Amino acid sequence: MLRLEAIDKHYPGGTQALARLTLAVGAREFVALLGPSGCGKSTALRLIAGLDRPDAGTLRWTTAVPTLGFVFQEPTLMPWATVADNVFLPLRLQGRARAEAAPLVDAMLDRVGLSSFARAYPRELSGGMKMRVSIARALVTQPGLLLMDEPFAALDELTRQQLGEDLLAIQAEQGFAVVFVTHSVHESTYLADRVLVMTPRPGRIAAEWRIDEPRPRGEAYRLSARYDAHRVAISRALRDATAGAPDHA
Amino acid sequence: MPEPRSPLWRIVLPLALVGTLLLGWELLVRVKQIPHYILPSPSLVLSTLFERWDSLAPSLWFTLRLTLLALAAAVVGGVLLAMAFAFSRWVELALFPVAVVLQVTPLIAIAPLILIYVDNTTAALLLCAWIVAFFPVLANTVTGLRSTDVNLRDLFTLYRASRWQRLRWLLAPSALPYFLAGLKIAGGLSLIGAVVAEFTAGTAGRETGLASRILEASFRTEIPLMFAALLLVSLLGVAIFVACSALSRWAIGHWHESERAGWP
Repeated sequence: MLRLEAIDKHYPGGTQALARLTLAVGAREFVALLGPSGCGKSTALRLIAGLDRPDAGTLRWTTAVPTLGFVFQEPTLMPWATVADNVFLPLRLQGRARAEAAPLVDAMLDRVGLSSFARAYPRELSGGMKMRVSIARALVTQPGLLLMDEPFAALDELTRQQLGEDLLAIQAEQGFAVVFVTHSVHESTYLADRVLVMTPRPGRIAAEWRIDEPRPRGEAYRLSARYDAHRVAISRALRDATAGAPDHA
Repeated sequence: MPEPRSPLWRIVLPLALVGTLLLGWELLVRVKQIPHYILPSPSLVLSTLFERWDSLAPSLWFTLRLTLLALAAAVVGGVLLAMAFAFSRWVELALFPVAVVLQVTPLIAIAPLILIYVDNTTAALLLCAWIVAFFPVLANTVTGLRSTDVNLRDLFTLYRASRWQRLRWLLAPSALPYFLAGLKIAGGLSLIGAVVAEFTAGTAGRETGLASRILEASFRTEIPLMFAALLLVSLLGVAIFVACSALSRWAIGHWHESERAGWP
């Protein structure tokens, strides 16, 4: 679906964020970008989203350019709009009429378990509920690729697990690909088909770990020896990737 | 006992304070037998207000109309200019210093020139009031337009929002609380601008406002009438502030913290 080759990117101040970053994402694949804070994971995501341009290298879609969905670390909801209007936003920007879009919005709110909060304002929701709205908004256009920038980082452990399971269930239904930025080994081990481990800044892919485990993955997988084996291997790869870096030695 | 932030206290406390002050003033004048041409009692001010209402009402209407027109012009001018600033750095670089110069130059110093160059006295007064009132709307709206959540901006870019969609669904609602805060300031300033301009103009023109009534009364040493006209100016200012606050509460009270947290 997507291939990044030898991507270089510098921040405006001159610091190099990415150095010859190369990665590929397949259709329906769940790829986790794992690395320490500041390694350029989010920058890579912004490049894929078209929010930034690389200084060098190529970003190539190997299929038709899919519709994109983006979930930020913060829910990033419009505080002046109701939950339903927040979810409606991408469709509104596509020029869809409210009446035409209403069934899609209702279905998506139902899918994330927030039907009864359609008329609520973001300030009335918990952190987990806000993130559900954010995910519903990203998925209401039925994207081919969902980009997620540490979406569960600010949530408590139980909410993270629940949202992760819900995300996998929706992905299984809708069949979109995911690029999921995280610094959590546990999260990437549970969610991803493939984990790409990044070096500290300037970021590049240091290791790749494939997780060929059946879906749906539930509590049984999380408590299994296979999960532990993947987690240990990914932890080791992350430690090797950050070895020698001043902040992570 | 109700909470200090309850609506009851918001009304009762200021009223009790003002009532106490008025009572003290009334007692002072009566006990000390102060002549009305030095300090009229509140009751005399009130009775003068009712007795001279026929001559004060047209002036009140004139000042009110001038103030509201200036405020409307400040809103239109301030918002349009703010949008131009937000969309073009070139426009901002060219025009912002001019706006600052207009804001920092005392109205009392510009007003005589405006009254010389603008033939129509009402138009000159309106221009004076507008100069004072438009800057808070401009400055606050520019700040609001620039304070939009960065991630929401990115989201609109991701979905290829048009310039109009960005303005309608993102920038305008983001800037609304800032604009309304500016409007509250501009409401008071437009009244101040109208009154100061009229003081500078003297009692020229066919129609005259409350400032002219105060000037006339001072020439005739009608101190109770001066106080009566002053009372109307103050009440007008309070009414404008209350109206702007109500508008703000109505527009953003359901989502913005500034209207939900109550008074500090």
